[in-house]
Amino acid sequence: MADEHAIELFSSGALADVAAIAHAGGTYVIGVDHTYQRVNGGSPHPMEKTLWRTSIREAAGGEAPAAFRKLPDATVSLANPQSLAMAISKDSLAVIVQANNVTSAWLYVWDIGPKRFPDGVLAGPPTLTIPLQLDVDQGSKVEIPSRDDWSSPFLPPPLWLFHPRLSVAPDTGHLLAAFNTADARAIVFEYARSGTATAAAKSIAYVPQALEPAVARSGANTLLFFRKPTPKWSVHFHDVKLSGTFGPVALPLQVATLDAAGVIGTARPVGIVGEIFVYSILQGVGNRITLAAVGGSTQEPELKVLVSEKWGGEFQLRKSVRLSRVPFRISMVDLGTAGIFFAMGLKGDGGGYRVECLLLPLSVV
Amino acid sequence: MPKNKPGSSGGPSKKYGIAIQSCPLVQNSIYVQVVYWNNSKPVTGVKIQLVQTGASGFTNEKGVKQFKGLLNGAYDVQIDIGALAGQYSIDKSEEQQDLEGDQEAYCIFFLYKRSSMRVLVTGPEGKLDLTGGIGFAVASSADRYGSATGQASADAHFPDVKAGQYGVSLTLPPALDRFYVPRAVADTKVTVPEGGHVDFPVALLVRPVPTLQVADPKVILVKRDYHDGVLHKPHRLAIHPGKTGDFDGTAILSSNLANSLTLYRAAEGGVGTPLPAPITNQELTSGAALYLEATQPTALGGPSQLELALTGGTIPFGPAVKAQVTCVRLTLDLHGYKPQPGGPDAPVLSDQEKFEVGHTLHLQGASKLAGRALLAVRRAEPADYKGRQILTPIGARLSRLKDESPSSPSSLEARNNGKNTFECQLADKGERYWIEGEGVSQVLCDCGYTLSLQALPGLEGDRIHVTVVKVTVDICEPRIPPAIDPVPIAASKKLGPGRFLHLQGGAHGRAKVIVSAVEPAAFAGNLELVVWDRTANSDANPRVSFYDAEVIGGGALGQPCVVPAGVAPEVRWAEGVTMSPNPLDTEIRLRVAGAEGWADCARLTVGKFFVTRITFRNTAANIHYARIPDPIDAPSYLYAAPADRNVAHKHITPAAVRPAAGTPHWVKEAGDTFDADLSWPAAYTRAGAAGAPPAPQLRASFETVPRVPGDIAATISATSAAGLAVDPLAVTLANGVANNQDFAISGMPGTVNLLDGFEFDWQYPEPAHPTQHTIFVLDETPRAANNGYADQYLWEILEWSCGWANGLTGHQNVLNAIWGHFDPVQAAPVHETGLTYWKDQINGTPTQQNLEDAIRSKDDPAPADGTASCIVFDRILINCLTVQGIRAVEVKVTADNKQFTRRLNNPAALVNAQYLNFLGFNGANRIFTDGLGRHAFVNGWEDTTIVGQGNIQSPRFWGSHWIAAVDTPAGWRFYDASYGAPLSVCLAPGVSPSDLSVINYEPHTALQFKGGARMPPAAFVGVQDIPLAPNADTLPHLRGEVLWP
Repeated sequence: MADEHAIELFSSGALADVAAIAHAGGTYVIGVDHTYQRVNGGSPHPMEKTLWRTSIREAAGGEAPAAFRKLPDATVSLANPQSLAMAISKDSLAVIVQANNVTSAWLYVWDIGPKRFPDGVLAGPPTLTIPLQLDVDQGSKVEIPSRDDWSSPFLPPPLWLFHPRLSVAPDTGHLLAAFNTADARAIVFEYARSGTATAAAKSIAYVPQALEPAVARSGANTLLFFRKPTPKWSVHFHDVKLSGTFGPVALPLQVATLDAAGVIGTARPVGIVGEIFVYSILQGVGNRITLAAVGGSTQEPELKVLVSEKWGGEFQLRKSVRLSRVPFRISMVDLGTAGIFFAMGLKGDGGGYRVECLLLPLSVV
Repeated sequence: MPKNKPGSSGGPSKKYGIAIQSCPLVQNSIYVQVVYWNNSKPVTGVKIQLVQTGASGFTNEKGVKQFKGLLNGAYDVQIDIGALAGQYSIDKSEEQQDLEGDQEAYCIFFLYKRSSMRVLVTGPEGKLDLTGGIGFAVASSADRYGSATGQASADAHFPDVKAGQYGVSLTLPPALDRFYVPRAVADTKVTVPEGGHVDFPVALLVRPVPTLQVADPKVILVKRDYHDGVLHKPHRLAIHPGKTGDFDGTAILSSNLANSLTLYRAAEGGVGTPLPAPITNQELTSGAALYLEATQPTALGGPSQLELALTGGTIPFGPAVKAQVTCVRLTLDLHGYKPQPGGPDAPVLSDQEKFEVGHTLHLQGASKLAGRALLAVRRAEPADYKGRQILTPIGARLSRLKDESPSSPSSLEARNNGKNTFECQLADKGERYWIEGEGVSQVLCDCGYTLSLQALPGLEGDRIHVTVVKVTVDICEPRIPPAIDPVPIAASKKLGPGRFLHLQGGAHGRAKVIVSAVEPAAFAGNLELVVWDRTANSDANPRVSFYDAEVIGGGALGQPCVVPAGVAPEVRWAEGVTMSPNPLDTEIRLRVAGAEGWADCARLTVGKFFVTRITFRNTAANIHYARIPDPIDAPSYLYAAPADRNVAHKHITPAAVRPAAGTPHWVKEAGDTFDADLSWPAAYTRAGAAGAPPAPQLRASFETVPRVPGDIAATISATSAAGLAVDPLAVTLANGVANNQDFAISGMPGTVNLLDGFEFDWQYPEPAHPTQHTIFVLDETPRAANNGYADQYLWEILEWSCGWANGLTGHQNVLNAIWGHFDPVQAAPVHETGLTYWKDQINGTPTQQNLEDAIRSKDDPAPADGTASCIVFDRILINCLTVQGIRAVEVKVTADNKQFTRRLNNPAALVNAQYLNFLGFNGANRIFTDGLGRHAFVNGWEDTTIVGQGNIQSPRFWGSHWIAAVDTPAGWRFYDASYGAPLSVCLAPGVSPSDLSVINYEPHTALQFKGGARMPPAAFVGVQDIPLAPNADTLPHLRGEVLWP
């Protein structure tokens, strides 16, 4: 297959984020670019016209290589996305946006039905627009050392949210949005949709020292994956999308159970991957969880794909592949027997970004 | 009357005592008289009788008897002396008288006392063994004595002769006549006394014949042209022409080789006479030696003939005599110049060439550069001459070898050990040798060989001359220092490592080449300097050109470069033309024109001298890079390493030092180029800076291409138009490489400076190539950068700081210069740093929060490019100062209500974020009573008086702000890089974390606080203007916090 080795799908000077989604039999790579064009409207916060650059993966039959067909670009108004994550929940497209202007983050939901994406589905406003932000109690706990402070004309730094990750509870279709605060706390919002009515997202977890959290759920069981930061970790200045002060830093990956009260159990390291720069999880059919983690070194990063076939079970390494550099975003789609399809966002050498994709057939290694 | 002569008649036979004479008588008479012969006195009483008539009578007293009346007719008169006959004999002068009418005949008889003589014939030196009859004849010179003849073997007896003088005439038989010659009659006078007897020995004369003696070995060495008779005498063969016996004539010497033989009267000198040549009687007689020279060899088939023949004179002489001589020509061939060993022989030199000019050979040295000339001993002429010839060296300056090539291993074995005696009958090519110069000639042609015959020791048949010349070529070291003439490379290094000569590129040096004075001094030929390609073994495509002058330019002298031989050294200058593919592949060879091989050589490598790496040491600061600049936005020169320039404006995340620790600032690009592979700037403090910072140093590595084996000593230095210099250092390039050589750097400016892209012009000590650098010169030793999370100075800080304060020194001057780029604020939209204060933030475009992110953001698409918050501008100012050694402290300013405004420690005080577009929190313990008597809290402030760095769209509302506290000569002052606000006095900041009163700063920015306020018991009302407290003891005020010491 053509994409068994990472191929560059496109480059961008102002990539906000990238995602791989599967819908209605299609596999899509969506890159969201900044235009830095303000959308004039009644929004109380700055809105930006973003450019969605979508390609569909068209797998050829037999041994023929896959191809990517570029779909028409779409412009979507979003609240100044510093970063975003998206997922397909039933027949809707959910997008969480890290904004940090007036409001920390937003959840947007477009109902797209069975139509192939994105034919017209993004032309209109989202079906739902849900703010995501810390409550008073949560916000009051954020501590930013003065040295790690930054100047913000809008939202004070303690209210900023980072590292958006979105997952869908397989059985309920609930959206699980995970962020970090500026002091590396994990906050998980659960959004249970009720028609088109706007409801608040519920904060279901607020966990200190849990960097880049991601949630998987099976029934009543919730797992919180995160990287374990060092003390006084400056999320802002370690965020490789916001700052190049530190660059990618490898940290150990941990996983913990998350109870209904938002309390995590004892975190345990996902030791098999070691210290990693970035990771992603994909909850598949049943209790299968696929973990993609990039470790190694900044000069020779390596993507490892691991699979846990049972809930809470150990991960087994299925595939590893060398990457050109450490991505800041990994987004996965399970293509079943074909393997795992990846869309990755990477920073360019001279500024800007590029989007690469990769298909890794899984095998026991 | 007829006169009768005694003894003259052939009449009646002689009788002793009686004589009868015919006397015819008619009417006639006969008068007979008898007298003594010796006194003419009459003899009386002698009976006279006429035979025909019978008449007789006796002589009267007058000794006369007359017969008368005789008839005409013939009458014989007979006389009878009777007793007198015992002593006397009758001499009948007229014995018969014819009477014819009336005539009186007179007839007289003489009586003489009888004498005898005996003629004895002997050889020249005594008795001769005669084998044949000799005819004798004796005769008196006077008629009256008569004569006698006889024949005998050795003597003849004449018993009855009259007294008197006689001469003897002999007739020799053939057997004697071959060898003897009778003496002349006149030489045989003998006097016979009357009545006496004489034995008269007559010695025969030896008949004269020529004799010719030729000195052994009867060989004449044929004269060569060089036999001038002065210095080199031709061979003259002594001959001795002579004769046997008496001879009064001369002789002729001739030869069948007449045209090539010349007769000389002396062994040396003189004028020769070509054959046939006359030989004088004296020469014949004296027995002295005469000499023959030959100019041609005897013809094949036998010796040449010499013939000596007598001629002239009165003495019959014998036949010519012959002798044999062989003219032998010996040939010693010396072949002419042959450029290369092998192949056909060079032509043979003419006699004149090989003798007068001779051949020139180079003095052979250990390097075996000198060539050899072909010497051949030829077969002698005539070819059938048997003998041996001897080859003899002249002097001891030549070696004779059997191999042409000096490098042949067999040469040493054959060296001078070959035989020197050869048969004359050699093969066609003769005996061949190769000669080379072993010792220097003192004068021209003072060595060579001679060829002689063993049979004629000491005599030369041929000769060749050779001059062994010694001349050397030296190539000199580079000029060190410039005022002193270059000195020759040490002899031990002449062939390796030799001289490294830089390929000329317009500015590189020329190597001095010295051709020594020539030995022998009299040598006046031309010398040739030839550039030799050792790899191709050829003089084609020379890598070096010669010039008359050291200064670059002028016309090249061509190949070969002809240099007149002289008594003083000659100088030429060599310039590199073509790169040497291999080290030491080029030689400057020196030779005498027309001499085989080479006199000397010096090796060199035409290459390039490269500075390969440069590391600036004892630098004042490491320079970090977040974004690799390019010339567009980097006015000063910088050439990033390949990995850092593979994309435009490469981002280095996190920022990293360049060059990395342990790596050079400057590296040459690989290959045959002077170009840099990278050139990173460096930073030093100025000359005279306080605290005696470490002296600037430079560590550099060098190499030659190609790499020259061995050690090359080089004094390396560099100068620059910027005034900076790399002090000379003696360096040894070992096998073409000298790594990590530490040099002192001098000439550091005494002020802040941005030495932008200056070039170090390297000399080794000849001009090498430039290396381009940028040096940031700082006013004082930098202080800690404290730039955000690390003590690291970004390249941009050095660029800006040194550029802004360029040429200045001193705390205040530098501070003012830098501050002048922040105050007054610069025209919108872009600060000269390329950054814009809160650019487009109004549209939500993110703004970078630290310097390196802001710098990287220059590559973001507009309007996100080059966005910078107050933190960024503050750190630019701080870093620009601290890098110059000026203390500056980062101060975060917040709204002070005695607690941290950002501390969300009171959830109850949360204000809906919507009410204030940038603030959201307060706290109960931060509530104070404001000047209006309200309970109030502040979350920020609004500043509308000025705009940050000219950007009118920059925010007006602030919850925090970054400024700097700067140590100025007048004390500490607050500096606001964003707003360029007027300076205000501050206290000396403490170490972080600590508070720092910003009361003095407030008037310049905090016009109006924003927060919540209420008039109890009413609820808080958001977004209220809360005035600045009029004094420091009441709220609200701004609070300063020292973030970095």
